Amino acid sequence: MNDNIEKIFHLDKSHWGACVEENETQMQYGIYETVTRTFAFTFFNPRRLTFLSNLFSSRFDLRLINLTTASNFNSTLIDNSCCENWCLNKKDISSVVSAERESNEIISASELFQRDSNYGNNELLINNRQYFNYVINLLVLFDDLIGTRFEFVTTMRSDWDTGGTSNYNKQEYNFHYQHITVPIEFKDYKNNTLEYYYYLRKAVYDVVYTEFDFEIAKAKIEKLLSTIL
Amino acid sequence: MNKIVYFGSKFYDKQQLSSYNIDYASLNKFRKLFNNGLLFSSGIGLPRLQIPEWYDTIFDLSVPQWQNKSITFEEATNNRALEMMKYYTEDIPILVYWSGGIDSTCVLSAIHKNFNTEFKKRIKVVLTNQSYAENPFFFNKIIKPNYKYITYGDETYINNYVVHGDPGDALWLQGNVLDLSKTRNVTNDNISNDPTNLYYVYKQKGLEDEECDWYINFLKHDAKLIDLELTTTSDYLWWANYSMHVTTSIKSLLHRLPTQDIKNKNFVDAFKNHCLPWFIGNDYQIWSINSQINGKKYNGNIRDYKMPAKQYIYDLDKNRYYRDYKTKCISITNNLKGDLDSPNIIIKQNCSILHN
Repeated sequence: MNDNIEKIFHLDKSHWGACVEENETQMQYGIYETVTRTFAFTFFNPRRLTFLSNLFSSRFDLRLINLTTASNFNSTLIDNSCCENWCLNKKDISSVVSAERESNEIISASELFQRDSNYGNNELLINNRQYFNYVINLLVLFDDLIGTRFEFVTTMRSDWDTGGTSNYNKQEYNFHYQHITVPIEFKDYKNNTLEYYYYLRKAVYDVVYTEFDFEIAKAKIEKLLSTIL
Repeated sequence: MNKIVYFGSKFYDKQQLSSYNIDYASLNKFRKLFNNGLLFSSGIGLPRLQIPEWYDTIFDLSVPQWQNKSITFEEATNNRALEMMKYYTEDIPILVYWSGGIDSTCVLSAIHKNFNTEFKKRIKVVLTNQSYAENPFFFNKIIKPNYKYITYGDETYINNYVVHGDPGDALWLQGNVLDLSKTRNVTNDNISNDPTNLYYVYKQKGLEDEECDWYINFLKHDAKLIDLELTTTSDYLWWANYSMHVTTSIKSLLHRLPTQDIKNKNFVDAFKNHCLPWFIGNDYQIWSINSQINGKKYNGNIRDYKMPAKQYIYDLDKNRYYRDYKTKCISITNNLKGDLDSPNIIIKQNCSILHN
């Protein structure tokens, strides 16, 4: 088992903010939940956060925010141990709400404020933090697996990535694939083919989209991943 | 019951309108209300030249009968389900349009809670991929194990009953009151209780004084027809949206049909007999008016958007995410738009109100 998989299967040992990817950009982004007006998760890679928000779009309305642009931002200001305590100002909230949900537009934060507890109980959101972290690691895992096991794909990777993220939004979701707990389509694929990896990735994402209970989702996903790991 | 509307689009010209005895100046006033965002629009128009003579008779059923009684949303919904069972007398399938949004999910929840087994067997849920994506939990827990479901596109009104989530939005609207709070330094309570604020609402949207008078008188006159007393700003705003929106919601289903069907008397009869919108029941309207100010409809917190309906759904499926985080989304009926332009213009029959 490589390090990536180790981290996915042993999330309890990971610490908040830890991830298998390195932050090379020095940028930090957050996904902002519009009902309780707080941040659900932060990460440095906006593409992964966009995908994450799409996977949870039937549960939360999550919008992508560039935190680095906030006037009071510094590298120790906000992370996944405290992001639920932070909020945007009214102007930024207005920009978030007026943006099309499906556009995946990145809103630049102008300032970060302590969240007002009058905005409501965000316990359910906080309880999903572990699930968010798990899914971020899954996204990295699949890129890593596909990138390392199928070297010829490397040059096409940006195309595959685009297909893997932007196509997986609620508008284009194909529910015919949703009822399959164990992907029967796999029967025609050898489990070391590229096609198999893409079907597997989709099956895993389907589990995330439809299974709201983290522990159940994790069990299903690990069963799927056991076919290749 | 009172007849509600004539109906047009912004393409109508003066000559066409006069041939249908519609006042062009009045129509222009309504157009301004819609174009300025003052009225909620269903967004689907029927070309005037295709409107046959029977058209206005469709809407005889639309006006609620006002009663001064207390009723909860849950009671209204359960009552409506029992009413609908009585309405479905023919032994034909009952198509339920499900978008995954709050209104249509509430309808399906009410059916699931109140319909007996024989009626449930007749249910076919009409959905799309987007419906599923909107609410996969409800699909997996309620729809899939209990009902037949089909993808949108094969249904007809001739051989099926049709029910959908419209005009659910008309029950909940009072948004203009909140808009007003941004420009006037008053509390929501003051805004809601003082009908003179209507002038600020309408003028903020670009109407002249004379147009404000005309429109407010129009609403008063119309409400009197059903013995409904409008006393607060919220009452007026609710009524404006209800009387406009309810009727268009019925027509929204008509517009998907080929022109030859719209002109077909048999089809029209089938449509009238088979397509009764869920949220037009009197109990709903009474609940809506009573809930304007008491916070049961909307207390300003976005989490509580349509909360009584979400709570009703939660009582069935126990999905906390949907109850606590679901807000506005696109309804399936909004996706039925053809190439016809919007907004609709609806105008009351007998524009003598203008001269009262």
